[in-house]
Amino acid sequence: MSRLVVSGLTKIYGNFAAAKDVSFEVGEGELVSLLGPSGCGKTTTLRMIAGFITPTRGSVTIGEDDVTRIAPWSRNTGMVFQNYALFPHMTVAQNVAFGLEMRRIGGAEVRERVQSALQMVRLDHLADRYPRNISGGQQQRVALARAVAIRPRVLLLDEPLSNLDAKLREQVRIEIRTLQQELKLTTIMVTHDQDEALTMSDRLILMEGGVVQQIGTPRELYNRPRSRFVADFVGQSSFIEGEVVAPGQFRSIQGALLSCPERDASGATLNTGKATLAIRPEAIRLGPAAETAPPGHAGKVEFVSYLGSRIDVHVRLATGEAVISTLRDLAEPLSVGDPCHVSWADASVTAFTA
Amino acid sequence: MSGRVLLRAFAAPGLTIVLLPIVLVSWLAFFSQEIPSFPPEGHSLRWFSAAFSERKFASGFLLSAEIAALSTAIGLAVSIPAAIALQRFRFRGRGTLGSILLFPLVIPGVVLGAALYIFEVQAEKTTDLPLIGSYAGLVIGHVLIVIPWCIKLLGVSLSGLDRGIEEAAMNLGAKPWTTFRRILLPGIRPGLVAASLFGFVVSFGNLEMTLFLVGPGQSTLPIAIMQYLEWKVDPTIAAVSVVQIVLIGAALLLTDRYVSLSRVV
Repeated sequence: MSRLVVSGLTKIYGNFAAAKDVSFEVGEGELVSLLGPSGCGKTTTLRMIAGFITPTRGSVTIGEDDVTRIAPWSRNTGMVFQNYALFPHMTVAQNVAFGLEMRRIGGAEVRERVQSALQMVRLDHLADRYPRNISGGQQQRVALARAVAIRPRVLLLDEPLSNLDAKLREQVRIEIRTLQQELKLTTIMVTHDQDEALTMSDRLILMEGGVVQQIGTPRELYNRPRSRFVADFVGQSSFIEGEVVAPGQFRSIQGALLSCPERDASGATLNTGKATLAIRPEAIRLGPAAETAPPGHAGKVEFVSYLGSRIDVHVRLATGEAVISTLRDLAEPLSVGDPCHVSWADASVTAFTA
Repeated sequence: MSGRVLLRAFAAPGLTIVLLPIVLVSWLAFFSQEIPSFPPEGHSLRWFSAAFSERKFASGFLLSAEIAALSTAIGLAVSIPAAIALQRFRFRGRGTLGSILLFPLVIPGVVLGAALYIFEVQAEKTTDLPLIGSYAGLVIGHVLIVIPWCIKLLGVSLSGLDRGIEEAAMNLGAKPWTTFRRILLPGIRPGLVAASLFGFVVSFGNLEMTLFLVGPGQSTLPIAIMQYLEWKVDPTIAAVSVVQIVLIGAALLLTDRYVSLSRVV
C-alpha cells in the first residue's frame, strides 16, 4: 500500500472546468471520501486517479511514482465500479482471477489468491457461479474481491453502496470498512451520501463545482464547517439570515435580535454586514411554552417527523424564523400547532459571512 | 385473457400465410408423380435421390456455401470495427457513415447487381484486372449485402454491453487489445453468432445480384435451381428446397439455443 498525492489536478472540457486545482493527500492505509452533490467533480477526480481521464493540469503520485501520464492498465489501482462491472461471461472465480492473469501470475498461485480473496468476502462457495446468478450484494462483494486480489497500491471505490437496498447498505458499509482496515488499504471512496462518508471515512473531502470546499475528519466537518455549503451538506442545520449590527449582535431579516459569535467560521472577525447563522438541530432545545429559563424564544410547532430513534421537530419562531430541533424523546408529546419555548447555547452558533 | 385471444386471432392468419408455402413445398417434394398435381398419386423419396445425384445442385450448393462463408467472414471483419466506431465515437459524418453501411439493405438486388456489373466493366477497362465474372467480384458483392446485417446485429449487441466492464478490465491490467479479445468480443458473442448466421443465410440465398456477377460455369445453388426450372418442372426442386429449409432451420434453432433470436433481431 502506498501514499497517494493529488496535486493541482484540473480537468477542463471546452470552457467548463469539471475539476479545478484539486489537491489532497491520502496516507497509507487511510480511507478518504470524496463527497459532494452530483456534478461536483468527485467522479472526474477519481477517474483521473484511475487513469481513465487525462488531466488538463496537475499530477497524481502513488508512492514515489508520478503516474499522471501512465496508462490505466499500468497504474495498479483496484477499482470497484458503481454498477460493479463484473465480466458477465466469466464465473465469480474467473472474474477475480482476471487481474492476476494479467500480471502473469502462475496457475497455482492464482487459485490460492482467488480462494483467499473470495474467503475474505465470504463468497468462496459461489466461485463457480456466473454474476447473473448471484444477488446484488454478492456481486458487490465479488467486485471488491476482484479489486483487492491484485493487491493494488490504491483502492478506488466509486459509489460502492448506491445500488444496494438500505438494510444491506448498512451491513456492507461495515464490511468494507473492516476489510479496508484489516488490509491497511489506501482507499479513495466517491459518494454523494453524507452518512456513508461520515461513518466510513478517516477524512472527508467535500467538493462543489469542481472545487474542494473543505478537507477534514468527519468530526471537523460536522462541528467546524468552514462555509455555509459545508454546514448545509454535512448534517442538518437551521439557517437564519440577517446582518451583524454590532460585535456579537445579529438581527435576522424578520427582525429578531440574536446574539452571535464575534468570529465567523473561518476564524476572521465578523464585521457588521450581511451574515448567516447556522445551528445544528441537536443544539436546539424545546421546552413548554411557560418556561422562561434559559432565555430563548417563543415558537410554534409546524411539523413533527418521528424517526424512531429520534424526533425532528420543525418550529417557527414568533418572529418568523424556521428552525429544526432533534430530540431523543419527547417528555410531553408535541403536536403541530403547539406553542413552545425554543433555546440554544450561544456557543453552538456558527456564523458565515454572506 | 381477451387480449391473448385477440393476439392469436391476428397471429394465426399471418403465421398461416408465412408457413403455407413451406408446408406445400415440403409436401410436394414427397409426391411420386413427375408433374405436380393434387391430389398426389403416391409418395416417394425419389426426388431427393434425384436432387443429390444432379451434379449442378451439388456443385451449386458447395459454391454457395463457400461464397457465403467467405463473404460472412470478410463482412464480419469489416463490420466489427465499424460497428464499434459507430457505437462508441462521436465524429463528423457518423450518421452518414451509418446510413451508407446499411444502404445495401434497401437497394433492390437487381439494381445492386447491375451497378456492380457496370462498375466491374469500367474498372476492368481502365485497370486491366480481370474482374467481370470473377470469383473475387462475386465475393465482393456478397460482402456488400452481408455488411448491413452484421452492422445492425453487432450494433444491438454493443449497445447492450456495459462500457464499465472494459474499464474494469483495463483497471485490472489488461491492455486495449487484450480487453478487446477477452472482454468485448465475448461480450458481444450473441451479436457475432447472429450476424454470422444472418450473413450466411442472406448470401447463400441471394439470386438477383448474383445473376449479374457470376462468370461462365459458376452457378450458385439459387442459380442452379433457376436454370433447372427453365427446362423442367418436377419435384426435384421441391426436394432441393426442403434440404435448404432443413439446414437453415437447424441453424436457426441451434443459434436460438445460445442467443434468443427474438431479442437480437
